[in-house]
Amino acid sequence: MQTWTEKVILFVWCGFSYVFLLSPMVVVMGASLHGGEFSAAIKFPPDEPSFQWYSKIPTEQFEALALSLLVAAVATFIAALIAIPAALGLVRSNFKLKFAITSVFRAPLQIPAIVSGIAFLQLYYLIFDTSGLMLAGTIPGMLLGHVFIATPFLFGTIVAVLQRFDHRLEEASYSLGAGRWRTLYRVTLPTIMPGIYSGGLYAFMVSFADVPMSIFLTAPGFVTYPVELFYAMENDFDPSILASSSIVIVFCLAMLLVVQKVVGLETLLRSGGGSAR
Amino acid sequence: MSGVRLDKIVKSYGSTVAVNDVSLDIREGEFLTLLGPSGCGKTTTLRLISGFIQPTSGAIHFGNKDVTGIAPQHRQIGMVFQDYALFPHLTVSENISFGLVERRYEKVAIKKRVGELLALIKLEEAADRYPSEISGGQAQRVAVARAVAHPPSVLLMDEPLGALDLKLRETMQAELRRIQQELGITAVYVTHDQSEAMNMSDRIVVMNEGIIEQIGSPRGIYSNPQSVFVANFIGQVNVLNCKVTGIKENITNLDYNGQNIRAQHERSLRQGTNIFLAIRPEDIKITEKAIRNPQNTLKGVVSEALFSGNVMKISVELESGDYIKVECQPKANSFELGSPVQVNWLPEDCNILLN
Repeated sequence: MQTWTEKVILFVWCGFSYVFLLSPMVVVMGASLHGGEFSAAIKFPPDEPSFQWYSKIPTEQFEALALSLLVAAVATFIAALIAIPAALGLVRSNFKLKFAITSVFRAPLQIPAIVSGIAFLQLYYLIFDTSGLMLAGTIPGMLLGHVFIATPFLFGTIVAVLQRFDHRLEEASYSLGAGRWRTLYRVTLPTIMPGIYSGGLYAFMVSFADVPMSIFLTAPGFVTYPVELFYAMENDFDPSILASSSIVIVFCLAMLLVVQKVVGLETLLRSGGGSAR
Repeated sequence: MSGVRLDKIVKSYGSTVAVNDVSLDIREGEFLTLLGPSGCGKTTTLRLISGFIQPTSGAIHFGNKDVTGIAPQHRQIGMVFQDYALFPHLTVSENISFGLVERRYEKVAIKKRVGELLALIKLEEAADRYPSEISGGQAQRVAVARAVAHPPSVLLMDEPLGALDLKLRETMQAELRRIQQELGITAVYVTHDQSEAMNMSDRIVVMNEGIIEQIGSPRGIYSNPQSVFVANFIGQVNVLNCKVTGIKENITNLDYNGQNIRAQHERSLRQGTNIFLAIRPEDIKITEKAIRNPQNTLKGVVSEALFSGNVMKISVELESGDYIKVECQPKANSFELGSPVQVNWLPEDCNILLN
């Protein structure tokens, strides 16, 4: 049984943690409802609450949001296509270069994103000089960079799940007459699915939120959402930025709820997303 | 369905030999147990039959078919694992139907077969539950149903009851035996638990360090162990070092610490041979007074007496300094520590072992 003091300590500790984690979001969402005169400073709590700034969000931000969602989704998908076979192969094989190749797959986590951004830009210029093909400011160019930073997250979670995988499940499948491909399809993939989901969620988020690398791969009229917000904050701040941020916060919470409903957040957390690092 | 034949099977890993020249004929419909301590090669033998590993040399036949080198998915085996290995993402009935789907059964046939099997394992009400929602005993029965859904040539079981508690284990032993007999399936069972092997098997194969020590019925192995290892592994036994002094008809006279012991023994032994004399604790009588017409009688003092419900387990220190274990009815006497006693047994309860 918890004593009275333990309960108080638990309550205060958890209370502080929640305030600390949630207050920035509450402030942003609250201030987005500012209804008074234009102000370059955040007003919280808002005067005369209204949704006026929501109608003043510039269309570029919506276009950027659409681009970001597309890039994040496609990059996550491609990263999964790379990470699943890579993790399966590396966890189960025993060849000499296993550890070297494993660290190659984790390397993008060690490189600051801004360095990766510069590197990709340099690479694209080089490709342009030799072949006349310009990748910077294009969807393939952007995707390449995002796949690069997203793959380690999927790779890491899938490796973590596979290391705890009970190989007897596959033996049981073989003994029941299923061949290698059937076993992969009916046993292995479904069993590691929670790891794929959680890794995919991290990968999507990392790609969706990336500024330092994406900022090098944008072009006029081709800007991802966080970069667009970054520019907007620098150049001409107004509460419409808060409004558009609030929409994204609500969107992200909704997505978490959907994932929770579909796979269960507990499975996600248990599959050890943290060990990606 | 068919018997299984192992022909001079050797499996080595580098310089260690896990299974050393094992030949074995498993009869059709037989329940055969591979019994031995851990590392004796029993699990390796089972995995060789299943095809998960391939022998270094030798051949394996299912019936008349040579299956050496054939992958497990093409061998028509049923496999039951210690930790069940049920597919966690599939329900009980989906687990059972897994192999039927792989073997391209018709939908209607699958439904019918799964229904029959659920009835066989008495788990109709759990059909739509997931493995995480059923108990260990239930999971074990599902694992068996899954393994036999498409009738296998041989049902292989690797310590399938190891994870269950004692009471449940005993119920499941009877249950597994019932299912095996109802289906008339050839079964190979691996365990290190001798009482489990005794309870379930038609025949037991006792293995040690990669070789077969003895093959026989539970009764045969218990009453006629052919080595000290088997005698010790199957139940309790007293082993005394003796020397052959003479043979008269089917009675062999032995010398133990200067005393004559008469043992019934078929094979003739040369005079002067050193042998091990094995006697089961329950075959030894213990008395406080000297008995009339004594034969095979040794004197000693009670060094330990344990009351364990249905039997009294008494340890007697003989004049030679050896200890001898005796089991008797608890009502007979209390046998206080240190009190002088005599132990005796019949010549036909003696087992002479050469190694």
